[in-house]
Amino acid sequence: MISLRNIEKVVGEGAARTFVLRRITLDIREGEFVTIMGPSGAGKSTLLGILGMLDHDWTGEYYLLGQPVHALKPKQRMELNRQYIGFVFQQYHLLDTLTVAENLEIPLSYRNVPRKEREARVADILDRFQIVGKKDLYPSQLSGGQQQLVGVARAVIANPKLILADEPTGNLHSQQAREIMQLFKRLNQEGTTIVQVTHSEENASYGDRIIHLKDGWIEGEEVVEKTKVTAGA
Amino acid sequence: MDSLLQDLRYAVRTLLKSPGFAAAAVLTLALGIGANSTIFAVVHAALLRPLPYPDPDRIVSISTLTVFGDTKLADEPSIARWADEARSFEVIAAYWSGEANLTGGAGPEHVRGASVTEGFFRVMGVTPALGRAFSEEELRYEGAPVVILGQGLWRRAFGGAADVIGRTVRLDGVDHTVIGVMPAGFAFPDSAEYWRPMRLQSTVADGSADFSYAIGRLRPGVPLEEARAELEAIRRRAEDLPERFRELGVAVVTLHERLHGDLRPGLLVLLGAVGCVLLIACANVANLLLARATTRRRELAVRSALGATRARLARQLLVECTLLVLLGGAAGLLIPAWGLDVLERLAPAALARIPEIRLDAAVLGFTFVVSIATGLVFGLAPAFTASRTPVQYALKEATPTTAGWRGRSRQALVAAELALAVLLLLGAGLFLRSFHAFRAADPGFDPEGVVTARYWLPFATYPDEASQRAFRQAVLERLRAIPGVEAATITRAGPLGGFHATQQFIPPGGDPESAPTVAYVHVGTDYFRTFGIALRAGREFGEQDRPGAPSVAVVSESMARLAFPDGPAVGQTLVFAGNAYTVVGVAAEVRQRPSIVETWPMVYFPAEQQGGIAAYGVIAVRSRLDPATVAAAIRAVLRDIEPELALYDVTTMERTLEASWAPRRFQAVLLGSFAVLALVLAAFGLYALITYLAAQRTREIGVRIALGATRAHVLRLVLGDGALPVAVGTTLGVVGALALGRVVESQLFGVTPVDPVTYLAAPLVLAAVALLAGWLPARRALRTDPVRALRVE
Repeated sequence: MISLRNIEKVVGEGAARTFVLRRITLDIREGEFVTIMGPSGAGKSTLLGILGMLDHDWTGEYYLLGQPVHALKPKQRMELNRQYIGFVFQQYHLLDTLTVAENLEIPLSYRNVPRKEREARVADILDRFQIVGKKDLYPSQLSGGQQQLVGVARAVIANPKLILADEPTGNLHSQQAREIMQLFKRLNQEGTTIVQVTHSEENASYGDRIIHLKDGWIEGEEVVEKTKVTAGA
Repeated sequence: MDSLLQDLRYAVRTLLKSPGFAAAAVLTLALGIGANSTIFAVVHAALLRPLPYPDPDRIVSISTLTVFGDTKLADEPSIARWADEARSFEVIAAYWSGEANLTGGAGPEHVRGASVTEGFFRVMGVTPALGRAFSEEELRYEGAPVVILGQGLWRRAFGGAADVIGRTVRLDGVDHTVIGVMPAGFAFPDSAEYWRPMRLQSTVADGSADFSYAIGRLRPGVPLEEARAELEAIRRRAEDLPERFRELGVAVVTLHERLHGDLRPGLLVLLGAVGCVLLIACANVANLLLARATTRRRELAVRSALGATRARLARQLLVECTLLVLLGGAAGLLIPAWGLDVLERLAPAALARIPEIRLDAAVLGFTFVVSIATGLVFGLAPAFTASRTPVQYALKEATPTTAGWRGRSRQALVAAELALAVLLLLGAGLFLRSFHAFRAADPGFDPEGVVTARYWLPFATYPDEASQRAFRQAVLERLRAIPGVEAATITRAGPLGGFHATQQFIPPGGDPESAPTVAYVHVGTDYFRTFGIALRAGREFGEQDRPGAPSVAVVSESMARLAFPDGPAVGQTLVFAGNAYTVVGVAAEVRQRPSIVETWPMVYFPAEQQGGIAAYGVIAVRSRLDPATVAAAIRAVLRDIEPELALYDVTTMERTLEASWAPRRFQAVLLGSFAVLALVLAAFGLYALITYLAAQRTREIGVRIALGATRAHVLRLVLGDGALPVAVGTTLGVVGALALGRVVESQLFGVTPVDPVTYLAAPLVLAAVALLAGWLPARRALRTDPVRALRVE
């Protein structure tokens, strides 16, 4: 599904030039649940931004579902983003002035989904995530776990093939974190490819594979043993 | 005191640390305060500054109030009685502006002066700087003619010689003995440079009287109304005056009011407009301060945590704000320093009459007071808001904040700015369209190729109608013989000359109570052809209309309709002021007064038949020649015929017509400039608001882009922030303009106060400017890097 070849990202100029990512070569198959780990400053979130096509300033080759992202213009890349990708953020990033239902509707309105269908899909996702009772509440009226639940619901509402999650449980306590991770696992089992960035070994154990980044380089990869999932669960 | 100095030092350092903010605030304030100081300088000079004479409030102008409610010059027999009997006044005098040909120097020079009665200088409270005022004998015209000179004439004619007293100066061909020189700066009336004695006609001869300007100095503490009542009573009981004089009312106004009162409505409109500009500037600065208060929340919280009271915090912010407005005020003074010159160049004649519009202590004081008031009023709210932010919230990154409240108050401020800008735009639009309509209005004559010049015949050489007529004929004969000259005439007044006599005309069978005002003027032969005035019927005056021939008149079309509603006027007999005239022609309507398009019904009399031009005349020549050539030819002809005659006011009718537009152009240009300034300031306010709101929403924009928002979505989001204040501001501005329309209605011409073109154009202009103001922050928002935006928390 994703194929990265020699992706590099540099910030600054001249003497202040710093490599954030170096020669990243990586393949992610459709239906995989991949975790990116590494110390702060390793380039994890940057890599996620590139995967999500929010960052255009890099070199190398990036193929998504066979399409050469590196050869596309920013506008075309955003088109791919809209078509295939959903985001989940550590700080949830729900829009404060919109209700839960309105937050969920946003990705659909950006994809020019007709109003009737938007309403139906919002109702469906509220039901699926069991948050119907919260639909008219504002984010500030929800707990952190509930907000992230809405964040995940918002990420999946447009039926993305790929979910990119940046520290999705970073602001949650362990019980809420577990619920969110099980939700991701379920989505993955239903066929959605997931790439998450996390510091948590436990969260990583929900995935199939861990990519270790350090100082912008891929330091190594490991396959997650499934027994760990049971142990962690 | 020490802590205040500390605040001041800190304020200077803070402003130096944010030069962008300081420059924006100072520039905004400079524009607002500077524009106000400029107009205030004019208003102060015209309306507020007392006349430069001792106790100027006690100097009044006295005139006759007609039964129709308008004022006219007072008759001399009444003035003589008032001067003798009125106890409300210390002294009453009369004067008449005059002109003379000064000879004896390089060439004849036209000078303005006045004939004045006894008491004139006492009314003005001025005595000659050299020599003395007129004696009893001189006022009775006994002995040789005498004159008192103004400083300018004294310096030009005598090089400012101290021994000028007793020497002679030749005015209108007569040697006058100089008996005094007035102090510098005294030039009343009408830039007079000499004063000659004048005797009042004390009795009515043959049922008619001479008329003069009357002025008086009130006794201290006497109110105007009491003085007016006394003068009216004196005239009522003057049994030797005809009944029609005795029944007339008296109007007493301060001399200041008579000289400058007509400027008041126009200047007040300008003052209102420029006040709006200042309000917009203030709102902008308040907005900048609110934005800054947000960014300084943490600094203030730290100070608060360290023990600063709210009052101390508010004071510190106020000191900063006051420093800003004082800097703004000081920079703003550059605008009147430069703008007053521009104003003087643009100014219509009425404004040019005001002496010394300058940057004086009053203007500086006004600027200072406005600056301080601005600082207090518009610095107080942001200072108060910033000082009340709870410390625990400000020190933490966490919300809640008062940002929402600030956003709303900033939106309200910008909406108010835009409302004022729309109000000014609409006002300026109305005045601009009014000016264009005025300029486009047909003046009724063809100004192209017409040169005019005035003269004043020396009475000593041309004492009677016969000699004056001979002079006119000689001049016209020579002028008409010049190749290229198509027509020439000499008349009492040309179109726009303003010098028309008026009286009430009772049409046959009409109601004397509601008799309309009609004007009449004595004109020379070829008058209509020379000025290019169309004749609708009949003929104009020619050589056949001379003394002894049947009395004739030409009437304007409106006069023809008024006097002869039933049929053609030509051939009919017009009874005017008790005399009968045969109407020989009907002429098109002509604008008689410079600033007014509406015309009176007009009667023209042939001067060569009935007199009426006397010593004062206007020469007009229509030709295909260069105006300078024509002017030189007129000068040469006059020099040959009368070497002691000075020509003055040599100009073309095109320039005269253009000058008649000046007051409206002045107002339209100034209002237009203020509207543009207001629009720029309001656009800046809107720009700052949208920038601020877009910055507040950086994270939101990042989220939305990550969720798939397109450029169009982001643009709509950012520009949408400006839409509400624009809509509210436009609505309020339009409503305000509709309410204020009536106030300026009387100053408009050719447009109604609800002119649809203006009311459509102004909001469109505002919308275009608003879009431009929103475009820059919107473009910046489009470049939001979602990765970075999402990381900033």
